[in-house]
Amino acid sequence: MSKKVLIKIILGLLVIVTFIYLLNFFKIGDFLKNTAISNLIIFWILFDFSYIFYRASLLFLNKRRIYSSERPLVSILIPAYNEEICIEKTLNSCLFQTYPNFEIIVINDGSVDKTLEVVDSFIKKQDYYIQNKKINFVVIDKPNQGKAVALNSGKDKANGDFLVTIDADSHLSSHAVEKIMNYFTSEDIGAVAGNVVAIYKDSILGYLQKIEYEMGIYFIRASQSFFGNVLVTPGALSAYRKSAIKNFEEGTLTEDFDSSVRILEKGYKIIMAPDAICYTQVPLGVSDLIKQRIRWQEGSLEVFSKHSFHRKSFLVSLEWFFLLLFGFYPLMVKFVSLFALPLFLISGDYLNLLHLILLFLSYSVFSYFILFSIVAYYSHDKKSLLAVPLYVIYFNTVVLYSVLVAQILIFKGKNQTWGKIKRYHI
Amino acid sequence: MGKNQKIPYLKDVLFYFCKVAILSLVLSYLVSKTSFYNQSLVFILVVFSAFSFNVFFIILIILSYIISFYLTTFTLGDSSLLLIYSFSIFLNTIFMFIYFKFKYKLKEK
Repeated sequence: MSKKVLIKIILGLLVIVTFIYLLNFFKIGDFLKNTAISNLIIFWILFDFSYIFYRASLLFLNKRRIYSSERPLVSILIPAYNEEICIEKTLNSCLFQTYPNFEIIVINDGSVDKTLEVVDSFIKKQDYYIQNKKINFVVIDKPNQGKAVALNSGKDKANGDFLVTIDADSHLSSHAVEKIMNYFTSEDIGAVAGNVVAIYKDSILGYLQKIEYEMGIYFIRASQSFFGNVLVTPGALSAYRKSAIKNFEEGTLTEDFDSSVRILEKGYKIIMAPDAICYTQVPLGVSDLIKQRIRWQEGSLEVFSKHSFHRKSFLVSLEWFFLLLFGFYPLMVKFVSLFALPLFLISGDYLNLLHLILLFLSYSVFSYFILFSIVAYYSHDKKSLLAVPLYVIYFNTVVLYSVLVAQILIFKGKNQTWGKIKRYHI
Repeated sequence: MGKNQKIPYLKDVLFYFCKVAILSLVLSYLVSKTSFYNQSLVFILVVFSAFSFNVFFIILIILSYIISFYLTTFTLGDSSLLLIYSFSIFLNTIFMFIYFKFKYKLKEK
């Protein structure tokens, strides 16, 4: 560990200690010092920050510098359902990759718009380039059966030993395939997750999602990558060793999560390529965003329930445990706490209610500020720190609501289907 | 929020809130008649049991209530009580996943 890193860790710890000291110094009334809630808040600080410290340490240690120089055939799979607005840009970004050896397979999953016509006209327009570069460009047209079935149809037609999957509403940077393939340095690496950047189009909601994506990538996945335990390979950009993936899991809402977990269960490693960049559209309307989050949450609960409590490697089990402890459990605590708020109102205990809300908000802002600082260091987006208060509101409304709905739906056995999110020109 | 932006599944959520309200009244009354009464634990029980009235799930949730209730008898003060409530939510979360796991296994069969 370099001196610089050590200094940052020490500074981080100093900030935590100062915060705890300040809580006592200002005595946020003697209320804080004397009530049970203060002890609980300090418990949560220690509980959360030890986790942040663990992740941050792995993050700083994760400096993978060995790259593969092999250039095997790669099959780029693009499943598309009603993507007439954005698929041309996607295809364009795939065709003009710096990687020398690839084929493109577009799977039209029963689109009812002009997706197929757009793809056909693109092939005609770029025919000279495709022929000249000898790129195998395949279009599969099949009835609508969902993304996983579409990916499996593409996989069956693929000639390459490696598959790169991308969403039809996303586009790649010109080096993305080359960069992601650099990470297949040994036979035990089964998949590599790409870096997904959200296009937010000057929308605040979009910007908050961009930060959320960055947090998932730079904080969670990059640290999981240290041990090769990345739990989710994003649908927007991921690369798979064909022999590691039997099939993309059909009938689930998050086929990317399900498939990556199966790869880990086979004993392969999954790592992350932060320099393989893919730009993706995110929902800019609240309704679309909630629908997307409900699907993600439902899918995650489904995958967690199906695959956890299995005997795996210690480190994979540890990641599952973290997912339970820091992913799902705090949300349940928030539910119960939020439901308890009306009780304070009914009982007329307004002072305690006010203190509770203030403590909760200040604690949330503080912990997110630490998280955002780590992420801003990697993403070079320091202005994101200003968005912390907004993020706290976003997380405790949109995300919490989606989690509640997902749970209600799972208990009812009423699965949400793949909804269509409004697309826009980029 | 835009003109056409409706909050999805709002009816389901409101129905869930109603269940929480009714259950908290009924269960608080019923459990207070026994020697196992703890208002906060009853409230946690209500939030979870309002999700589903499946017999297996209810058994798990009640089991969690009983374990947490016995733990409260060994407490030293308010702060440890709050930690036990946190533990109770954790236990319920684990039981919820055990229930989901059985549900998916049955579905797969």
